[in-house]
Amino acid sequence: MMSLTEQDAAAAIKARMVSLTVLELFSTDLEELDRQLLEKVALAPKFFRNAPVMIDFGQLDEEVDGSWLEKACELLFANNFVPVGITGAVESLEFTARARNIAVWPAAGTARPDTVVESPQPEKKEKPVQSHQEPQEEVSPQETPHTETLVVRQPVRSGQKVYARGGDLIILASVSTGAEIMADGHIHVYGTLRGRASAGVKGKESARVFCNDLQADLVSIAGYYIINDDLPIDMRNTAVQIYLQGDQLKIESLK
Amino acid sequence: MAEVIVITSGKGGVGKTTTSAAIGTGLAMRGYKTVVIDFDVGLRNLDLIMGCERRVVYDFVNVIRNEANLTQSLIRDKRVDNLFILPASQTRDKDTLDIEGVERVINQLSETFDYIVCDSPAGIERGAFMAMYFADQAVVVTNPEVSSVRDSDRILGLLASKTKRAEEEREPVKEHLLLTRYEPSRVEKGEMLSVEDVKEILAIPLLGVIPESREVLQASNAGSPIILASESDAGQAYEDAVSRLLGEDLVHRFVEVEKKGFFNRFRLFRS
Repeated sequence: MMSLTEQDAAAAIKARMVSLTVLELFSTDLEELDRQLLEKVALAPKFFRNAPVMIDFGQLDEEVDGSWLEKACELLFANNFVPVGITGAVESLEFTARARNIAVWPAAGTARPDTVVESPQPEKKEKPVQSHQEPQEEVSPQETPHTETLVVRQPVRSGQKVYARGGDLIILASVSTGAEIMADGHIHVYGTLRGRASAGVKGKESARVFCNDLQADLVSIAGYYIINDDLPIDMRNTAVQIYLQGDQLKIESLK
Repeated sequence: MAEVIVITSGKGGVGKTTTSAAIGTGLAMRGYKTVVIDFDVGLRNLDLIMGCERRVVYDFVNVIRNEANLTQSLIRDKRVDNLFILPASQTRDKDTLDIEGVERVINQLSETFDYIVCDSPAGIERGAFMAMYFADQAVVVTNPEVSSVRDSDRILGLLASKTKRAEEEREPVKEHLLLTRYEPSRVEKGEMLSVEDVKEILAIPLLGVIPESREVLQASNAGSPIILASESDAGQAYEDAVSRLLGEDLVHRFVEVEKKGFFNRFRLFRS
């Protein structure tokens, strides 16, 4: 049975982990903040352009008010950042944030982190980190995945490399040992898979590898891999699909 | 316009030069004006296998550098009409080959010859690249052994991407598999990859299977291409390969173990 919901629904709400730049505040001096932001941006202008930023007040000892947050947001905009949320702030700030239509994340850790774990270095104002908060879906402007499928008709020979960026990869011939095929999405091999196949290379854990004849050197999905030596005997030389379940790769016969 | 055929393999010692000499000679015997070019600059062997090493005056590199013209450098074979050899230089290295120079020589040869057979050096470096770049057809020489098969696979990948035909997005280089040093008895014992194994991995049409033969070594040492030894298995297998290259459809010989004698068979029945 195919699920109809996905086709009928106008939209789907899904949880996804995204990488977010976090601006940890150690001082309320806006001029100093502006100067240091400029310095940072000058180092990697392309990297920070329109980067979504979460402002973390957790390390800040001083009290700030709504108007300060307004000014800080303007300053971030001026430096080509997009403030998308705040965290670890007092309640009055949360009110301002809502008024500005930016999100309020619960503070990292259990409570408001008044207890500073390590003395922070003031010059380290920001660093891109993986957001470990509840996976609330955020609209991040640079993450617009286009799903182009790459179809290869010729055999992929030893020493050759094929990468389907942003989509699935379909190989209509065999993949030789010593060859490497990769995709951000799924991989289908309609010949014999003897080389290395990596699906979901950008971390998509739902990616799968399908092949008509499994003799692979290595198969990996979202970084989890299995090498030829560990392929179960009864699955070798047969048509299989391989997918990730928990942190284990499952190999399942297609017969 | 001549047809350019590269004899290549990736791996060394599988029989590229033996094959170049045999196929070149075979084509000339059928009446096609043929030249065999040795691209193995610095390690020239073709002149030895074809028995003209004492007649080399100017070589391929001299022609590329305009130090000699083609008529001075081409060596006419004494046994077979229509057969010429363009020897490699033994004192230079492969970096002296440049793509414009090679192209000029091939274009010039193309005006008067029917077939240009390019004997590629081993490896996937400059020399091998030069030898394959202008090819219309490729004979990939492979031994029934895993490392040779893998190297052939690598070469096939390069033929599909690094040749002039590939770069100009013309019809791809026509690929042929030539399996050499094949021993059906060892295949039966499981000591050697079978024709089917190799065909399955490389997935290109089979041009021929050359059986392992002591006569190949003797012919090489005598400077006489093996195809001239028409009574030998290997010589006949090369003749078949040349026929297939010219479009004939022949059954592959020398792939099965020879039939046992009457008494052996009799004993087999009783057991």
